[in-house]
Amino acid sequence: MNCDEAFELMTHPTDHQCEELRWHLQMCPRCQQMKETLAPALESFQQVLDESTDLDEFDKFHAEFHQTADQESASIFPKTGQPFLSAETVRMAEQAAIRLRADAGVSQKAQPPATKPYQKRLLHAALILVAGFIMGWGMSLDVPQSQLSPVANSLPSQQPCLWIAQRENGTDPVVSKTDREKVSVQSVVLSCVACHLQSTAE
Amino acid sequence: MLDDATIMKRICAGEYLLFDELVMRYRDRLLRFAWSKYGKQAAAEDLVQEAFLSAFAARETYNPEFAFSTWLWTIFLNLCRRHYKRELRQPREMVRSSFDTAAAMVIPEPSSSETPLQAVLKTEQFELLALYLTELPEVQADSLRLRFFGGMKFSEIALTMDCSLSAAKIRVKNGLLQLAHRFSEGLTSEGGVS
Repeated sequence: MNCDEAFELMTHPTDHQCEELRWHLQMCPRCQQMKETLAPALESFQQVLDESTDLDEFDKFHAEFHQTADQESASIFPKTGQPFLSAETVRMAEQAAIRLRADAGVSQKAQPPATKPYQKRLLHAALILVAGFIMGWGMSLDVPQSQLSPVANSLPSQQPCLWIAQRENGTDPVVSKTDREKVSVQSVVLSCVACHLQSTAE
Repeated sequence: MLDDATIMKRICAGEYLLFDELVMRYRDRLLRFAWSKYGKQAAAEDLVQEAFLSAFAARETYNPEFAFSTWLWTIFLNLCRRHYKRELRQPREMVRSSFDTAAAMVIPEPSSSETPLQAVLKTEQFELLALYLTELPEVQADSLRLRFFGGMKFSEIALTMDCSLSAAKIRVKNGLLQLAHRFSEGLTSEGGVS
């Protein structure tokens, strides 16, 4: 949980005492401080929203208490028996629907499709592979045939690649270290290039 | 239980009585919002009723692409703003003393879970909160009401108030900071008097 989520839970009407938030507050002094600062306001809301608060009780209480005050405000609202709903109000609702639909459309367009990050990763991997091939090809062109190591030159077309051979040797404890060092890094790379170029040409 | 979008779809198909279910789901939250904003029960109930009626009348424009709750709250908030403008033309100050007239005080019947004293304290707490909320800038107070009385997510608040997500969070945060400060001041002054 990050601090943003902690704030959401802190101000949540019902989940403000969940375990997850408690753990976060123990770990994060900044959020703890924020909660202490906001405590008077948060507690006030929580008391009012307490499950035992029955709106009907407020109803009963205020129905009698505000009878006179509400008579004053009655002039603002249509009198009983008159049509309550105006065309203006319905238009307001329609405009709200139009705006929300437009917002929903915009957010859907802005939201990237779920497959996009996966596709991006694939594209990156493909680019790295292509770059590797180009580099390898370039290296093979730069190195004159005579300078190729005897190991690479002597590689018959069907011989397994040195990369695999070296890996197998590395796992074999019997093979000495000096033997393994004989096959240089350059030879391995060149054997890879030679092998792959050959397979490409075929 | 049917979700709001399904209910709206069936209402549009002619099952009008299902609208009752939506009224039951949102009435209390809308009422708390309006009540805390205007302090007058009848005015609050009229606004809530008007919001439901206009949602019903404009039901054909509803689209499941957006949440019914967001739509209803948007309508309601616009109605509240219109009402507020009308009130400005006929200004009436909302003060705590109007709730405290001893002669008119009616103690509510105790429920099974709480004593009359607890009920009165709770009512007083609500009135105090409503009063402090009216002292905040309107957008901050409305954001707080939507968050706590409406039980809305920040993303829904942003949609309803037509602002960004971060703006909705900042409004709630700043509103809470000011409210907390106001409550602390109140406690200090009460302590000073006693």
